[in-house]
Amino acid sequence: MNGPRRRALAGTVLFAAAVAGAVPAAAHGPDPVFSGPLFAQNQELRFRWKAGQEPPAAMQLAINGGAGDANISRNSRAATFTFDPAGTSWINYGLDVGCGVNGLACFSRVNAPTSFTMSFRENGHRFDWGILRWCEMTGRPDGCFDARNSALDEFGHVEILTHHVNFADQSDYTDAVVQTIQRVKPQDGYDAHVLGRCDVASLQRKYDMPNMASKYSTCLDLRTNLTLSGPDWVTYGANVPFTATLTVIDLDAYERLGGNPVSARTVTIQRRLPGAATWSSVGAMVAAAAAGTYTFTAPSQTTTYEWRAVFSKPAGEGLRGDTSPIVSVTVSSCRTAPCPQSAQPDLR
Amino acid sequence: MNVARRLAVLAIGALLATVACGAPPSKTSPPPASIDATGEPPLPQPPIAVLTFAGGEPVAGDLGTYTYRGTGSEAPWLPGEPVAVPPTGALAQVFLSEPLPIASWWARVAPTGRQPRLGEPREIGTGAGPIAFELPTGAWTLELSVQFGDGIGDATYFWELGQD
Repeated sequence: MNGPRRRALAGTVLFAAAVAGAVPAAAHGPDPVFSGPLFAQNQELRFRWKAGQEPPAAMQLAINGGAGDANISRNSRAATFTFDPAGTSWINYGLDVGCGVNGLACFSRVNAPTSFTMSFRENGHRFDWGILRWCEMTGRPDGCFDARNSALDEFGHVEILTHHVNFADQSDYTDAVVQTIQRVKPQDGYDAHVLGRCDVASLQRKYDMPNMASKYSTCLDLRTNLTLSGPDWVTYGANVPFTATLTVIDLDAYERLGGNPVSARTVTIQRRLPGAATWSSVGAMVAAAAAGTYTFTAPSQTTTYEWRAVFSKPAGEGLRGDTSPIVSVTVSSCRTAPCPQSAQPDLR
Repeated sequence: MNVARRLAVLAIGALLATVACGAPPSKTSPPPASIDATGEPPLPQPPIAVLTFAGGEPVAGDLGTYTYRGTGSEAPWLPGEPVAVPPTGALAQVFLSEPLPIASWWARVAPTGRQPRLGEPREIGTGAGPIAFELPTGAWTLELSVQFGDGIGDATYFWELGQD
């Protein structure tokens, strides 16, 4: 770059910096996302090879593999990708794919939610930084790029994701496939063929869960709300029915996940004598028909107890635990003999 | 408005005009990319990032991986555009050619001339808003990652640091 142009740029950017605003820094967590439109939930995006720029067979296999990897590992209602010769989206391969000066692969989702495009530079392309080697086309030498991993990364972008923000030491690199720097063989993660937990976390927030029994990504840390209902009072010896409801707290930051009922988890019910310090577990509540609802019936109650439901933070899932408010269930005195010593009938 | 400020405004206007009138694009300021080079309209690219420090020539970084306004491109770790750093180091500032909000940024260095090894890049600065950090002495590849605000995207730029 010549001197005047450099200085011109410097002047321009000084001016630009003066009017730019600052917002809080991002931290490790779910992948950042584009501000553009989403595809519909579970929308099937059909893609074709662009005429005259079809990838060679090995690359087609890798790209289709990446599409399948995205479909299988999205764990959300994000869009799916299917090859279809009549598809409205296209993928091309070659010399003039327009990925910028240094790009291996690129994409556009500017036509979302209608279609997308994706491009892969040809194997052997000479960049300033070196020669591009796709592993799938070169016998997998060290230093090659895994095209299937590249494709999965690009499909993640097409959904809505931008690049994961790693820790400074990159120790969390494998938490995401949608990465700023794609690793080469044999670096750890170079051939990842499933979306990482922090990719999935953002897809879940944007597109919602596949169903209410699905596991939340461990890259999330969602607060839950557990409620318990039961009768205030029952007759001596009666069964006591309880119903608990478990939901994700409805916060704006949780986007589509806020307020979700949470099904098929372990919710236990506990009791204590009124005012006692310790609780004892009575049993596991049973999943009911309604999503996020659990029931339990305490049989033949003869003693007044305080009850609560407990959802412990599950291992391998991005939900926090919660404990319901206390429900006091008073058992009336026995009025029909014979009564146990502790519940003599009031005969006055 | 005093004379000095009037002159400054005129100078900035002239500089903007210089850029707008199209000095030929260099290797470090690629033209807007087109996903379809056979007729699709050009797609936007992130702003140019210019590294400056006292006594040094401003140098635009090599654009690596980015996502930007619904598009994006993947690049590897790049060698970077050469920058001669004074023997005592220098406080660098990086400015973008568009007034975009900067949600966060971080700068890292790794030994020059090859891909960084696992855990090797060393962070030399991070923050939100204006970008400034101390340039180290020695031979390094400098990577600057910028997360733009408002869901615009992100971009990575590279320079090759050497001794003045």
